[in-house]
Amino acid sequence: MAEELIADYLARLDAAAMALTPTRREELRAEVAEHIESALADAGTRDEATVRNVLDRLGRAEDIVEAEAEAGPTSLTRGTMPAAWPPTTQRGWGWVEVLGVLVLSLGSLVLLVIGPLVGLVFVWASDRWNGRQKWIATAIVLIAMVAQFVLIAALFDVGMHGVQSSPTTMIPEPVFTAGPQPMFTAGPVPSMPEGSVSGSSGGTSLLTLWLIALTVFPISTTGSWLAAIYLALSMRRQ
Amino acid sequence: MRDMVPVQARDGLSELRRGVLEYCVLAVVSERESYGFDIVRYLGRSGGLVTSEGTIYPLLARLRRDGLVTTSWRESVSGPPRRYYRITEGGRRSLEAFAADWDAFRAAVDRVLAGRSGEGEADG
Repeated sequence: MAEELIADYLARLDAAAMALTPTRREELRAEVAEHIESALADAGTRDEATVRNVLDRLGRAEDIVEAEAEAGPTSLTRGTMPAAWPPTTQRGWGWVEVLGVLVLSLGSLVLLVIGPLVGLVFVWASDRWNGRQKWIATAIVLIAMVAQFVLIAALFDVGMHGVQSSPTTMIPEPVFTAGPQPMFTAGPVPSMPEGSVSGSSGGTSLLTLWLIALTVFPISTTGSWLAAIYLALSMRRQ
Repeated sequence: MRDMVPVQARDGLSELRRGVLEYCVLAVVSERESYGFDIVRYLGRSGGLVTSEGTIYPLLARLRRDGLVTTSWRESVSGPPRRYYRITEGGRRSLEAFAADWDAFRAAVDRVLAGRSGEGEADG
């Protein structure tokens, strides 16, 4: 019972000391624990009444931590941080975070573009990542997607019309529908031979399109994976 | 209303205690190197100087940061090594300055209190 009282007191101190730097928190805990041991050694007994008396004289654990804040901001993490710090339960992985990272990394395998975007919605719904981390993840995903579209558009253009074609006039609309779902572009492609340099190139361009799609397809997926890895790592650092 | 007076007086006293405690701690460690519980025990024996003993540790941390005390680890006969506190030159200067101010302060408060009690007797 007496030992439980001590453990309870130190646990309360730990909880109250969350706003302190980890170093100072450990130091303070060690000093208070040592104080309790010294006082009990001094009293020559560890019965419940003695332990209660020692803990009463120490004062409330919360008051000790409060005195730490009064003693100067240097023992706190940083001026405004303690207020901004969410309580213990608000840190680490929750289901929103797990879903966010999972959908972000696997979503593109299920549904291109839409999958990772749904993942990002979960990420933005979470309060465990800060705004900066959310923006970085979003930027990685979007830049990879845009890069994929641009590459597909450019390569598609070259594949369809040859290098001589002017890219400004020759970006046909179907290119963009081909972007998100390059696997399904085989159908519509032959229906737009107007831009072709020669009719004989139709078969090759279909093959080229497939190759382009396969080569370029992993770019946005890789972007989503990178974003997911980044978010998972920044969670571990917290 | 009458109940309010002692409460306010006690609050004033705890403010005062908080203000002078660091110099009392400096005075203790200026005599000899001491560890945390040692300091608390000594101040406790002097009566009413420390109410929540645990708050001495944040205070000691601040004195250390301000360079008024230094610490060293010493083996103890029982249990883990203890952190001992010793006053620095800066701490000694700060303590001497306070001791001089305190003399003047105490004399002034005493004079005012003595004058007030004198009036009280005259009224009664």
